[in-house]
Amino acid sequence: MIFSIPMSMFAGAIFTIMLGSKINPKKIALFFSFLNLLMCFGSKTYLDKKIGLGGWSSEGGIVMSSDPIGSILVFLISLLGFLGILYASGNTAEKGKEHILFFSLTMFLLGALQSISFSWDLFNMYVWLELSAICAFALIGYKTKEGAFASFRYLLTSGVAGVFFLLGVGFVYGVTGTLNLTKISNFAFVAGANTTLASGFILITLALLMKMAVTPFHFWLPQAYSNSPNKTLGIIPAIMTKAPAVVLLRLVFYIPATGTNWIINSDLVMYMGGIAVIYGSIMAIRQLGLKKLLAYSSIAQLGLVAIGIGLMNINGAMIQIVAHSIMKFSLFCTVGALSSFAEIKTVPQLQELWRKSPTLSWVFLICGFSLAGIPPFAGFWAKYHLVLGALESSNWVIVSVIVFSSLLTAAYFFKILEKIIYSRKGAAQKIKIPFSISFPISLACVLTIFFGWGLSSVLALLGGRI
Amino acid sequence: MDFSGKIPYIANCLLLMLGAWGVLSQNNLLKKIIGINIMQSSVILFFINLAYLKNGEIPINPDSNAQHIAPLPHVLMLTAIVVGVAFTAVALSLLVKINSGYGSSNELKILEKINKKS
Repeated sequence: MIFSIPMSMFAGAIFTIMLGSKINPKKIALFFSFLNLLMCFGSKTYLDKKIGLGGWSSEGGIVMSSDPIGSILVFLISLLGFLGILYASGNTAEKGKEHILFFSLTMFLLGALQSISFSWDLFNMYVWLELSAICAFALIGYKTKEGAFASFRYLLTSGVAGVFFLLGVGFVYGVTGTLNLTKISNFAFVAGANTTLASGFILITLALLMKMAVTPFHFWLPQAYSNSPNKTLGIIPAIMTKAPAVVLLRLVFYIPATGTNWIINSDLVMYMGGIAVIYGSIMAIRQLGLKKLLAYSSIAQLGLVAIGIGLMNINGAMIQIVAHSIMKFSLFCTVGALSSFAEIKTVPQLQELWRKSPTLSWVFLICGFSLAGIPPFAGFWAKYHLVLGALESSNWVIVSVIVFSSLLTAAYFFKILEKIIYSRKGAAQKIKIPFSISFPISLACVLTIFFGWGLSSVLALLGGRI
Repeated sequence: MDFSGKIPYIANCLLLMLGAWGVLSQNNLLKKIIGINIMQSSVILFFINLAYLKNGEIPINPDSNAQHIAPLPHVLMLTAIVVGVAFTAVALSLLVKINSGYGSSNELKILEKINKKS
């Protein structure tokens, strides 16, 4: 039963609350997230199957789906969740109540994100989206007042998005009388153009774009990411915005175009993504704070995901989601480690990092090249498939936006690399970083390098070609 | 549908707009939370309107021949209310933290203080 995978996360969260005062909470969290990872390896989640929850038939009950898109995301969340919990356990020395709450909230967040990837029912998607968002508000804002204010802005945006999503679900339910995606898709196929159904989907799309932080709705993201505590940097920036992206991907792929309305909708997603790519990259060039630079870079990269979704290019969108999660995980963790162990928070302070900590410099180098789309690394394959999809639909505006975004990314990453590599002579103090922090960072970095090797199996799952 | 059947939907629409106006125009963060709550209630009422049937019966008696109202939207809205409560609880606790940290719950004053610092 696939639902036992997110359930293991929820069980871990509840155990952490119950036993956290007796056993060290980070041990419980590590145990359960490793169990989750093993279960992802063990169960064949990629078999395209629809399963009714609680013994009901898949016709009448609440349906969970185990299909390639969802299983790739679940595996990604499980892997990065385990590494993120490892990173967080190295980043904290203190014990006590705050520690227990942090780990249990993290595991609730990961479980909710995994449940989103399995759900095949619009209302379930709403509930899991809200649950994951609520955990994220608490994780961003629990420590500092700046974090609380940034988290409050995220909360307002996400709250309004949740209302829109529910309203859209209401429209769809009112027309079709069902919440099951297969049945909705059948209905849309038979009924043809239907204005109410299309407007319901436009509401849902807008809500998901707000949660994904695509440009006009991006304003909460830089503040929220740059003010979140260093412990959460392995979890929230890497995978938080990917779950709404996958929900949107599913809706675009499985609901047939209802008349002309849906085509307008996917064009909207694509061009908003294009604007996000340009805007995010230009804003990232202007930043001096490391976390803010990476946050704006995230906006640009999510814009690429939106372009992939709008082009209906399943390979490009999925590869971009996976590649970006891995790269941003290792970059955000590096920045978090630098700020908590060496008080390095801005770009000028990176001076002489090459001699202070070669490992972390390699991470910047590799992930920077990867983000800019230089061949053997993960980012290149994502951009390659996106450009391929754009060429197929002969959309030259989008092709040039994707290629130009590479250039802009190189502009802001070479600004960092220049500071790291060129250094004056003289003694530099080495930065000491514990194994539990350097291990997840370097593993994610190695994954970025060898991403191309595993790519063909991912594409075979998605039914694409290489 | 005649005009009288549309009145509940118009009321929903007005409530949604009232909530959106509250979120967009008010500077007090507490009022913004209230605005989102009003929006959530309007959507909940929208679902209840969808389920409504004139002279419909409560669907607990399988033997009766009368038409039942749709039970599913009511069940969904129970869950949505719970989600809304959890949302409001987190929002209020964040607001308490903001208010004790910055000494104000007015967005403009907080932004002024943040800008002064940097």
